[in-house]
Amino acid sequence: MYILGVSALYHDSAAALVKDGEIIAAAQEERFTRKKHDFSIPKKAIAYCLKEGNIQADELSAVVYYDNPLFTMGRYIQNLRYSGKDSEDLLKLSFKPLTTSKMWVHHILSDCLGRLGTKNKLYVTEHHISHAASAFFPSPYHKAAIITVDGVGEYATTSIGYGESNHIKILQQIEYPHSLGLLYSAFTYFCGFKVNFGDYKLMGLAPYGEAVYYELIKNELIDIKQDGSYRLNLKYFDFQNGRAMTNERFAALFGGDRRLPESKITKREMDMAASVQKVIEEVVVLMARHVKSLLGDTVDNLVLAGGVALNCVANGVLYREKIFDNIWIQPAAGDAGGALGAALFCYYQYYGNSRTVDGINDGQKGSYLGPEFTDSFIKEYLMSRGYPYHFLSGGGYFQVAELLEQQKIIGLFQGRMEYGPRALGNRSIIGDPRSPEMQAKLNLKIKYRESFRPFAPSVLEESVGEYFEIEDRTPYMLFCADVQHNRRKEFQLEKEIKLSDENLLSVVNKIRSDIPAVTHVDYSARIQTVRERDNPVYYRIIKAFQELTGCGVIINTSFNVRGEPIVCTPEDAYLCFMRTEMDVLVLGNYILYKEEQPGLEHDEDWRERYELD
Amino acid sequence: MNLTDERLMEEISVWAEKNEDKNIFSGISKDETSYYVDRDSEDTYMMEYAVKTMAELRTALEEYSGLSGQLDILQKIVYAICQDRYRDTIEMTEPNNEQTQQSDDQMKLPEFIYVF
Repeated sequence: MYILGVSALYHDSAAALVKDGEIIAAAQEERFTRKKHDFSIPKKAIAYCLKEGNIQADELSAVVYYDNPLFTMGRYIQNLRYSGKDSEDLLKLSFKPLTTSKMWVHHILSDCLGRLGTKNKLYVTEHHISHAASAFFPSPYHKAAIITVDGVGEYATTSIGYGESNHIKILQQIEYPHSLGLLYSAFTYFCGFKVNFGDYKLMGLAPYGEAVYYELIKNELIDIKQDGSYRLNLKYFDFQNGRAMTNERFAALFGGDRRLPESKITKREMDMAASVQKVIEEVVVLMARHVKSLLGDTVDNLVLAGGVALNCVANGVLYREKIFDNIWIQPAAGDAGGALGAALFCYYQYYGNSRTVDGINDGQKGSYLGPEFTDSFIKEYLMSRGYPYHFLSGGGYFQVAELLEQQKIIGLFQGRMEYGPRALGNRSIIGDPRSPEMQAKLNLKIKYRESFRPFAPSVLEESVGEYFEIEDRTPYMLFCADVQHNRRKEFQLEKEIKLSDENLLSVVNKIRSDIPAVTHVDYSARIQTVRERDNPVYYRIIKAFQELTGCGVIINTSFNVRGEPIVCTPEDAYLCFMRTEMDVLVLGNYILYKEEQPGLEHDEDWRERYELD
Repeated sequence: MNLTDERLMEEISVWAEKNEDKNIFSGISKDETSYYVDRDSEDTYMMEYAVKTMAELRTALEEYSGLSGQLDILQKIVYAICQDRYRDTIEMTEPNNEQTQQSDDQMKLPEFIYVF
């Protein structure tokens, strides 16, 4: 039984194909269209999934869309009544997308696929059901508590529930406009980053600040109950009217207008980021305690999804609280993951198929669920373009490790593309974490992004405890933990910020540990543990680096520049390699050196192609 | 946006103003101990979505969108949705780059809007 799940028309569109409960393929549309956060109908992702499954659309048992348009329309009308005389802007900006596409999603998908599976019908799941299903069904657990938190889906913004075997049940929810995701987005907006796309930047900025606005936020913006439920004080927000996330009252609360995008980041933004982060952590922990109290001590596992579940700092706090023995988070926790959840829900709960788990290994396949390219394809591509290359004999792990030790920055392209926002070693840029200059160099000369942003470490699973204060696997880079005390160097953040006149680049360049490039200013790191079983090539590269240098950690950042989707094809990878100051490109079993490559012709305007995120 | 769009939008906007309710969303309450809304039914977790005609759309919206009993606005919304599907079909048969670009721009939400 093949089931296709689709998410589209809101944020990150994606498709996922499930066969008898096994995830065959899943990918975001942006990777194919090269439009970051592409929300259009995922025609290319769907085509890829069907090709990977070697099936035609009419062989699908069901096609499932991840959101219910009727409920969304109901909430929209409700919101119009709230806006009242201010509804004109809301209508102008958002009515058309609803009436032209979302309400006709079944026709649009039918036009795209030719036929909606064997029954030629579209099924829709509730948005938070899609998230909940994406968290529970691929998890290793037979039973688990479920928490989903995002901006909004139909009415719900937060849901708590329970999953057992092949069945999930939502027990309670919080409804629009009260939303933790929207609260966080309001701060993202006010601090000068893009809503939806810049939330992770706010999270990266938080450690630079102090939570001086924490009480203010709790007193004025959000009322949090002891069970983790909450409501926003709507008088400070404007998202209900579709004009902006916050209003002049919000600005007055924080001493003036919002920071303009790309302008200097000041202490205020750092403190705002730290403060709202602390609030998010508090709510998530309270929610986890609440669901634990509802379900009792027999439920030891927690699963999470929804955009807020990508907040790896909050996840780290939750991990350290030890409310549950085990936590599993859907790597594609945002809307893209809804495609997978919709398909899995249909297979397990709607059709009632049985589900087996081993309690240890998940069904996500390392989230390596996208396209891959054979060596023969890559060789043919390189030869057809006349790009000089060399064959990597024996996998070339030591050769790559030696290059890392020589401080080369390497684009690593191999295996199946990752599903979700994180590059996990198959579409990654890698470097030596011991270098004090590497963070600034990678940010400014490779990624062309803000200097304050941290980089993540990939560490051999068996060595994680040597470097970081965490003992468990974290293969999807979804938990933050601190660098071990014995590796830290003396570093006083407040003093450094004062001395630097809020110039974050000079702060970033200060050494904080013996792996400074992956140690954030508060000594934290967003960790990916790597085991041979999940990704043998990537594991062996890190292992070779360890044997060469004694360091079992490397830098891992996504293979793209700012505003560009992560690379999908060898062509995308080659172009990104040539447009940046990367030194080496590994394409499958082939290696390319920058100094041997001919320059790209007629490529002067490439930076205009990608809108800054 | 054509004249029909403008007229419909205006009518919906007038309806919204006339039916304005600033208390439609529950606010902060010191008396309540929890803001969670309990859910019992699993009936709507997943359903078939197959509206084809105006009548089917009206029935579906009445049942699931909370618009039952509000026939005036319901009719306008149904009309707007059906009209847009019709126009979309016309555009698909007559591809035009300029129109496609306009349509893309129209569909693209401003960066500061999250919800819709």
